[in-house]
Amino acid sequence: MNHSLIFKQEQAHKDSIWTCAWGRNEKDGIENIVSGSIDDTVKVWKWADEKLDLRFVLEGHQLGVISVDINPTGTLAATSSLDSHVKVWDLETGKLAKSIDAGPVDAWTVAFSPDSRFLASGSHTGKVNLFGVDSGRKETSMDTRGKFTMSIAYSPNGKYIASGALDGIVNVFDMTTGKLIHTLEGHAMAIRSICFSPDSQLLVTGSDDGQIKIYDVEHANLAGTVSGHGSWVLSTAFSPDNTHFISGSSDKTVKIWNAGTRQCVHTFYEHTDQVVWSAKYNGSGTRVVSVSDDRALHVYNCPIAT
Amino acid sequence: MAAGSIEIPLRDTDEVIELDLDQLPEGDEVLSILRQEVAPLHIWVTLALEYYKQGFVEDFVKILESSRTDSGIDYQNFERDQMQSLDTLAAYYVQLAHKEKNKDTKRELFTKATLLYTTADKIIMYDQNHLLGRAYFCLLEGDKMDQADAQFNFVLNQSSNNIPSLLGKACIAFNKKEFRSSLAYYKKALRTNPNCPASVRLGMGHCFVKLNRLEKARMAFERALQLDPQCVGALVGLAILELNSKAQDAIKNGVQLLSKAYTIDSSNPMVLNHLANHFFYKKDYQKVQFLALHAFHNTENEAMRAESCYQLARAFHVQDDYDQAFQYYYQSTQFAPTNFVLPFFGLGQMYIYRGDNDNASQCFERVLKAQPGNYETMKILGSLYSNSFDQDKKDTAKQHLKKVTEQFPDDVEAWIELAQILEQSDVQGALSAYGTATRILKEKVQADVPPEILNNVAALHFRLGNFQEAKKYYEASQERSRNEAQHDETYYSAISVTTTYNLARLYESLNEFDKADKLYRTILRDHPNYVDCYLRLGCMARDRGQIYEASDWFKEALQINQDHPDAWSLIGNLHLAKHEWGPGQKKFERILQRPGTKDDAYSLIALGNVWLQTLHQPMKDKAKEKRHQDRALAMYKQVLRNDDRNIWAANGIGCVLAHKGCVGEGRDVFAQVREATADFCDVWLNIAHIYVEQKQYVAAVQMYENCLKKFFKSHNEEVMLYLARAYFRCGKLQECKTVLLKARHISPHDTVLLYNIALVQQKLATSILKDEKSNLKTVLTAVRDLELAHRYFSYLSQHGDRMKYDLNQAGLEARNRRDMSDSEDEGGDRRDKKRRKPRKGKEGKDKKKKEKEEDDGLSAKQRRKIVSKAYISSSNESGSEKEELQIADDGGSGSGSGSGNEGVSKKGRRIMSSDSDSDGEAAKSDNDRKSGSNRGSGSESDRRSNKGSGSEKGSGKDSGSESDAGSVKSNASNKSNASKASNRSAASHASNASNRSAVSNASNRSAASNASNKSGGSNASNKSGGSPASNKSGGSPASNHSDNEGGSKKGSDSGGESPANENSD
Repeated sequence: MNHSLIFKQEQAHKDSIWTCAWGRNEKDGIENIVSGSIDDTVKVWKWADEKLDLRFVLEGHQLGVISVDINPTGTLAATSSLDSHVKVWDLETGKLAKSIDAGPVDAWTVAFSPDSRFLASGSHTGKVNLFGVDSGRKETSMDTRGKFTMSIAYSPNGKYIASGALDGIVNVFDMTTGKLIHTLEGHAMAIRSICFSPDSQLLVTGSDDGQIKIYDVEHANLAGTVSGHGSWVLSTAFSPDNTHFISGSSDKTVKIWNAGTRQCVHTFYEHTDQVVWSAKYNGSGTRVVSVSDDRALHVYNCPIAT
Repeated sequence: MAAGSIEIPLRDTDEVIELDLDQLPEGDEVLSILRQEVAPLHIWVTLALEYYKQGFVEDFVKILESSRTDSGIDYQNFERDQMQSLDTLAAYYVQLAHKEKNKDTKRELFTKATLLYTTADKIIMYDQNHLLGRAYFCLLEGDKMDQADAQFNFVLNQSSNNIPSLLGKACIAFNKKEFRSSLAYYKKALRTNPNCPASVRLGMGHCFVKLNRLEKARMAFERALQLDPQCVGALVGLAILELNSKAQDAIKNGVQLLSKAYTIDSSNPMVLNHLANHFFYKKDYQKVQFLALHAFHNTENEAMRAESCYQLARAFHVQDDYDQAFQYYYQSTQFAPTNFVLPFFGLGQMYIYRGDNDNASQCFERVLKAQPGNYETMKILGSLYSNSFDQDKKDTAKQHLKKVTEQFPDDVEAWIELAQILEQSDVQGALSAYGTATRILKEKVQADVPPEILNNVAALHFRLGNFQEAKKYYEASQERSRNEAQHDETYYSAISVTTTYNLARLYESLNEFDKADKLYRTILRDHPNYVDCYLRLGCMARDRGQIYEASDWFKEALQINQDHPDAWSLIGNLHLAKHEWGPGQKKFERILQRPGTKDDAYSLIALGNVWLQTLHQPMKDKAKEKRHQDRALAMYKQVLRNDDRNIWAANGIGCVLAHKGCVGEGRDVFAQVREATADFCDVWLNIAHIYVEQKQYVAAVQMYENCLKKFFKSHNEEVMLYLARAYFRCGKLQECKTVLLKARHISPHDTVLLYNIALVQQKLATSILKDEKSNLKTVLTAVRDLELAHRYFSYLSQHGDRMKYDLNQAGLEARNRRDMSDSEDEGGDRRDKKRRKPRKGKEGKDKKKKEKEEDDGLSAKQRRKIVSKAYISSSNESGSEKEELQIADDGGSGSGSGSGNEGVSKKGRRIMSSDSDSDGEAAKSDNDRKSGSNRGSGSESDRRSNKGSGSEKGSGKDSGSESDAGSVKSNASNKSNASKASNRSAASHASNASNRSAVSNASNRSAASNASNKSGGSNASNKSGGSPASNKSGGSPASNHSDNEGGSKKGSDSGGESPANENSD
């Protein structure tokens, strides 16, 4: 099977969808897709039989949901909204597990730690905050001494946190020491998306300059730059196959890249005339979900062989 | 009187002296006898004629001259003899004059004749022979044809079969091109006197030729030759018939006839010219020169001289001696009768060679007037006019070329030329024209498509947005260039560089910046002077936000050319983007200081925008405000003076107007600009601002939304802020909030947005709380919203950006908030108050969204700001894209023009090579011709570039100068022009950018036109009369023409002769 759109959920939300995540609940085996929108709701969908079923509508955010993450075991979803509230939801019950008020401006996008104990989020002042999932409190704060932290990623091995800032600077922290170990200055424009490869070796950054850079995390070497998006790169996500990654852009496209050859493997143009805010792989790397300003939620087939 | 003798009566006796006509004594002896004996006049005359017939012309003259004084006239009817004496002598003089080449002598002779005729007039005015003589005199004297005609008519009225009159009439009719009636007169004469001299047959022959009855003509000429084997006219006539039949043998015959004529009369200019013509085709140019020169010196007839000069010029033309060729062509045109246009054709080519296209087109217009529909001429004019700045001329060019392609659908060059013209106006049409050309090349000519054409086609696809197609063609072009490289490495590598540049531009458009980057660097490795590559690299860095790197690239470009206006503009734009107005201003002023770019529209508008921008800050000093307004206005006005269609300048003026409070006028200006183009984002915004101003919020909202969609891929926070403001003002708070949230999602660090969100939230919540029907849930949400708003206000009162809004106000709001939430159920008036307060707060303070509130002044400010800012953004986005496209084309063309810049000789070479490659026809043509034509093409390309720029946009005024500058350098530099344009545009002010781009377009065009140039070149060569090509088309008219000449000449000749004959008879 080729790269193709296999399912399309029109009007998934009442307005622009800003974020999505895909995770398989290890307990009940349900493939959960979580989407967050400017309409203040978070929706949990079940992907089965090549279609989506709405499981929960999670309410409680004010001012638009800007980021969603599902923990590695697929049991919890963390969401953050423009009002700097972070909420943790139980994906089995759809209940609010924890609500964290990060102050007026101290949370932006969120990422689970691999052990699901912490949530990392950026802040206006360039700090990276770690919130305890259980405690609901800010446990640690690491300072990049930089600008607004727009994107954040936890390495799958738990060793690093990488943050991307408004001014294009990437900071990598070593979580064993809590120290800032690399400052990467590849971009000069806001980095709205950052992700690690499954083996934690590579770091991919997507920026408003339309480019995506691939770094070797350990040595902080720039492994390559790929360009092909005609506008801001709003999201990046690595495939479980450790070779491919996807990107979504305000040029309305979703692109699949090969990190080794640094070539664009495929481009999806299915979101017509609207910004693609987010795109994520499923656990096996065979499906991709994307959400957009057009209020639709797309699921694509994504053959691994390519 | 016996037939063979003449008797001279002796005075006072009846005796006579009998002179045997076969053995006439010495003229002087006879004369003395005649004098002595005072012989009656008629004897003098008879004797004189006898002498004449026997070839003793001097004696003839002497006798007749003396007869006037010394003869005896005391007999009856002596007047008749007197008349005969006078008329005969006069006729003789006329004949002599006619043959005379020296103008002075000629006039002298004519005077003598006139004198004699006048004397004769006094004797018997209406004597037939006298009248005839006078008539022929009139005829030969030239330009008195009507007078002559009248006299012939008079004679014919008296005796309708008067042969000389008939012949005269025939002659006149021939000269008036009434060949049928001329023929009728000749026939009548022949019927009257079947033994007419050969010249009558000759005249008939010419009539037949004219009537295109060639067989009859041939018979007539042959009959004339039977009657008079020495008849040069008939020989030439026959020869021409033979030559025109174009068969190998016939040509041989013709030439033989000509050489026979030559042996009979080696000074007959007609013969000489025809021989020259023949040797031209034999490529024996020495002989051509000799013969033509000889002919020239042997005739006074201007038409003949024109022909001779033309032959000479042609010979020089073929031998590449363009100066001499020019001289002779020019001379020829001075002599040439209106229907002899070949020299104009040649002269036109020489003018093209000299780069004087105005004169050249005048020449070709002459040709076309004389031969409407002549396709070579239309082709040349087409390519000349296609370079013109004048839209009318361009349209003419288009028409000409269209006609050519209709008439000759296989003419590759015409298709290419047409394609090039269409490039500017009708991309689709241009593409299909190129497509046709390509097909013809492949199918008919079996030639490979030259890389230039592939490049141009690619550039067109690029402009249409067919990037994949474009890529295919660019790559094909590169491939072809590589294959051709062995033929002319410099040329093809130049093309290849251009194509590479274009390809890089294409990659930019495909957002594959890494590939573009690589290509630019590759080019720079081999051509470190290719300024455009630096500029593009800089622009790409700039678009990545790497301002310092961008700046370095631009400075790199300045190392190559320290006055490069685009590089300076780009640097200036970098400053402006960072709000470094002073340094930015200096850069643009520097551009304007250079004489070559003193009217640079881009810089002027940029400066105007700088002044405009100062008006955004509220100014206490009214005088200063006025001064700044005036300065901005002055800049825009200067641009408009040079280019009254510059939309950016117009937009700027609209802004100043709006700022001055003339909102209605401003709106009119914006509306016009908007009509002119839909691709100019600033004007959309400005119109929307005006709608806001005029409280037409719905329209404003629509305008903002469209603008966002069209130009910003929906994420420009500034425009979103405007949109939110419009919503806010028309009370659509929910929509307002959504827009603000979206903006905040994009720019989370912007505290102004935060403030505005808080404000709207508060207002929304307040109204919900006020609404009795609100249910619990919404009330609870509202309360939470109020709390949040409060949080924001208190946060902002501490951390907000002092420059952007009043922090105290935020604090105040925060306190209000508390009140609000605390005492929720307080009276309505309380709420009212609250509500009002925020309002006030807005007015006073928050500059951004609330700027609107602040007052009209503010909004105006905003507008202005938008203007300048919008420029920037638009240039980044839509502007740049567009421009780039164009630019890319430019790049393509750049190469073309680049070549143009190089030495003439080079151009020539290139063209030639391309010719041979591309068009079969051209291949035939000789090198010689080519060089001439090439030249032409070279110049064309230069022109073209200029023109192109002009045409693209109204604005691109400066393009001309730009391209010039570019041209100084070789290919690379040309291209750079193109790129410049694009760079600039990308850089900043949309307007500027576009201007530039337009400019570059032009230059690009020229590059694009490379291919066309070539084709142009080949055209030219074909056209040039000099060559085989001319044989076909040019050639035949020429020969016809000369026929004409011969014909008319003959006619007159025969006329001249006949009176003498007549008389003598």
